[in-house]
Amino acid sequence: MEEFVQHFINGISLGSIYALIAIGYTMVYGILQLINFAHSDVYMIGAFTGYYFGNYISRLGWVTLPSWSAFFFTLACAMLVCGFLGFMIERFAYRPLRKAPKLNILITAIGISLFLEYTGQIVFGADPKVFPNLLNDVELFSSESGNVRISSFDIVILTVSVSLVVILNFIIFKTKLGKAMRATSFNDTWAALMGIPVDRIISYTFVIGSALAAAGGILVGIKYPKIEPLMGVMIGLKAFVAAVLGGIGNLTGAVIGALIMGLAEQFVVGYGSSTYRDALAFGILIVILLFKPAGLLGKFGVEKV
Amino acid sequence: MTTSILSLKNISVNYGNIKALRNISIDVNKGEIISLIGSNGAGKTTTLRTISGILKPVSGEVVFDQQNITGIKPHLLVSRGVSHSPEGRGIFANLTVMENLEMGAYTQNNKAYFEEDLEKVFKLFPRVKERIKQVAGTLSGGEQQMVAMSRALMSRPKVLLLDEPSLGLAPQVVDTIFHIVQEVNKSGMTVLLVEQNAFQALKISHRGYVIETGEIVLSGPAKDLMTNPKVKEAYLGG
Repeated sequence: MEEFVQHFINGISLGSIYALIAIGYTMVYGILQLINFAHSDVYMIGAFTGYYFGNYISRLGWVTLPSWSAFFFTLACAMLVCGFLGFMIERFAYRPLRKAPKLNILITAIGISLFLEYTGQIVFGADPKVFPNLLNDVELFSSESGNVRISSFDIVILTVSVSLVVILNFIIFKTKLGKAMRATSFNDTWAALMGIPVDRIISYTFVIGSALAAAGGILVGIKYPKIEPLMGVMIGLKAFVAAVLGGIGNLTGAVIGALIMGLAEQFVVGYGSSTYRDALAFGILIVILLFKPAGLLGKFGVEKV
Repeated sequence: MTTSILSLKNISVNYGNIKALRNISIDVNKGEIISLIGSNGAGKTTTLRTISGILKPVSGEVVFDQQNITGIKPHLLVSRGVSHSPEGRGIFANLTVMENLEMGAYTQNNKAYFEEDLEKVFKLFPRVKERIKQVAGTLSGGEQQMVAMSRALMSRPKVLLLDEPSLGLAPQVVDTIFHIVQEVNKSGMTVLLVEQNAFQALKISHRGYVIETGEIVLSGPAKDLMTNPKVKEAYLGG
């Protein structure tokens, strides 16, 4: 039982990181019907931004490591940088192809992804880097047997992810911007006829999605402090699977899908074999799509005329 | 002396190699209801889409409020006073009725005007008020059309472009819709109405244009068109 609790905690922690990345896939898909393959690499850039920025501010003596201020400054910086990166990717790689066949823009996305990965290898170096020690890991709780431990990292990861998802939900459902995003994702021509600046709304979508991926990058950085330019590949794939699992285009679905993925992965590692942790993601995907082809919360568009 | 608020001057539009509109000219005067009638595929929707900037004409110009608006992007035309309620109602089915109206008022930053306009459309469409919290996709076709028209009015337009508001609606609902178009017009709104339902459209219009395979073949006062033997035969069922 204690073991179960431990795996559950780890699973939720991992799942909430997947969720931050999955949201970006699902938002962009919802608005452009594009699978943004470069998204996982934006997450990687987020982690590296954290690496350089964290080291830089501590070297300059602005903050001492580890500390809360170092963590939050680094988080904010990575989110800003990646938000900007997401904006640039959309503006210069995807927007010129907006009216082109969907396949062209999909291939461009793969191109951007490879571009970021290999530019990353040149600029950052292909060897793994150790993420700066932004926060101290404190054991908050330990059971008598020592089988259940809750570390402060788990709580930080969960708190940051949940807060960001709550803020995002507020933006999407309560603000004018969010309503315009939902209108645009339903039909961009009609949205334009309402006076909604569709291009700007799409830019915001990329900025928000990319900033969340960056937050994911920082959280992974503090928990698993080995980062390298190809770190986005597998986690990006899993986050993407999570988004599809939940019903791509659906925000709540992405979060639920990500939690399922995180939990399932930790349980397989805990009770089965860690060899199968990656195979599991696709196993779950196949099983769910067999029974719910549109994903857990997804709906195939049936339009009433 | 009436003043023209919207005019299309020798507009031609192509879809690839297909000529969708050939050299059409339409004049809409302030305060009028103009109907553009014609059969399926004649170019009615294309005409509206060209006015609102979704399509770019290969030649000719669109003049609105004394300004050339040809090629201006659709979202910029809304704040200038063009409101286009698209074919098939164009409701955001995933949004609530209220959110749909808010989107209609996207360019309206004045909260007091928003409240005022909301009251106005509630008066025109009491049904919309009843449904205000519902997700728009769950409404009936007639109700959706009412939401679409309410939404189009929320931007305080000078010209209302309506694309087949009667499409797929029960005859009784069609009567209501056309009646409200008339009401809106009486309050000073200029309306360009695109319809297949020629008889009912002409009945409430001041003037009309008949479009066939991308060309305007007839135009004149609505009363004359209704008695024109050619129109009668082709669109009014003899």
